[in-house]
Amino acid sequence: MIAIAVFLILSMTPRSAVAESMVLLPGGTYRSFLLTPASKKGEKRVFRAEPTSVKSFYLDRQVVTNGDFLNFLKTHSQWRRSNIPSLFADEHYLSSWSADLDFGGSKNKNKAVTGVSWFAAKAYCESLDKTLPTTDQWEYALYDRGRGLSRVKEKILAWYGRPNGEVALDAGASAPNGFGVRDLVGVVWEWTLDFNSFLAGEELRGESGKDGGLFCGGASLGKSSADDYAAFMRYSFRASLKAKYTTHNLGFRCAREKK
Amino acid sequence: MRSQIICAMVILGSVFSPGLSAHEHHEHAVEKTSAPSKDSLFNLHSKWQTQEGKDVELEMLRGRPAVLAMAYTSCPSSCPMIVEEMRQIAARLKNKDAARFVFASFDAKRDTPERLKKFAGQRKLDLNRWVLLHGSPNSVQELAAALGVRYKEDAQGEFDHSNVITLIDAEGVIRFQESGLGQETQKLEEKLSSLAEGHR
Repeated sequence: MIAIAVFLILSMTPRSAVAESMVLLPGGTYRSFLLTPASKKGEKRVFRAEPTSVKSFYLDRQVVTNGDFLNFLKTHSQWRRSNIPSLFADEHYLSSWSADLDFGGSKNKNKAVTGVSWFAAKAYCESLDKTLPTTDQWEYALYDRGRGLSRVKEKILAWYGRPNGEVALDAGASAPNGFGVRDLVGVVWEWTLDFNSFLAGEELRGESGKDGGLFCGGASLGKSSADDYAAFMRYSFRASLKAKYTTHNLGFRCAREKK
Repeated sequence: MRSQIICAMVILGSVFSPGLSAHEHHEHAVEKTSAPSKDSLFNLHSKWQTQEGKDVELEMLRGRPAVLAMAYTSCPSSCPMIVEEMRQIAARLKNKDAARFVFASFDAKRDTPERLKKFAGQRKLDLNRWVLLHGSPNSVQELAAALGVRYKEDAQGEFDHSNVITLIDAEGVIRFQESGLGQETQKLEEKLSSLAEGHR
């Protein structure tokens, strides 16, 4: 019995090191909100919510905080505000910070880090042998196997409807979802690794607003996504981003492949 | 729908010798330059291989204007048009040695250096002026991000991608970008010529 217990403890150790800040999500499917190109030339684009498979992966339980990011900058000076190439971040990079290594007081330590570009977020994750989550991974985590879906949607819409600039919540303050993941709703928008895998705004809107473009409304939407304006807002937001952009409401978390 | 697939083209301003090894290039860079300017594409340290299988970084392009397209060789429709547009831009450029033309592939799986070399032969690309680049998915992702190129691999391994033409100068700084296929390239060519003049 003791031997079994010791074996269990030993065999669990590496995994629990990961599990402290990350949660292992089981594989599964979710309904992707996507522009699906039709196969034949000349056909219109249609939006369809097809089930998308996602393999099991690790995801940070909460968004990356100012405190976390400061630790990264201490050892990766090239990503500090005064050093970062303008190729990798616009002029608002970490603009809420007081200085290169000062996020402006202890009250900000556990706030989500924002004002970070895709390049900086990606470099942070890579420094920890992680990656940014793919859009599929992120959306799959949010979908949460459909648990409390209507409540989550209401929460999302209420959040999206709130004006920017209100007092930001601490990272990890909200209740975890069914997977044990926090902050997906209500704290910050989040970078995904393939944010640029969707064609830009004009593609979403369609030509002159009269064919398969999403802004045209229900006619071009599959039934399962016709009411999902919250998802539409996320995809539109991602489609509007460029990798060097930084804004005060855009943060990130990291993921790791399950080996 | 494939007609809406858009290929990406970037004009880079730079020097590049196809026969230059990574080692030689390194020495060259050290003696000639310091760190790249902050808005230069040369800040990307992603790894690539040329059609000759040589390991390079984008900084190999330093020194002269050039044209780079992100596309892939098995692209069914728009990529051949992009290569043709680049060929025409190359043909109209007065000083033949003043710019370089670069094809960076999205397709890390299929577009091996060997395949890129074969493609160059099929398309009659002059390898004294052209370089074709194979990179890892991560390298492709970073370059596309830096250029504002949007792309997605579909289940069949084809790529939907946006068409962006970018002019960068000899230091790797983006000087002009043009989106869309079959666009008027006159403005781009004027800017390219003026950059090329400065590097004679």
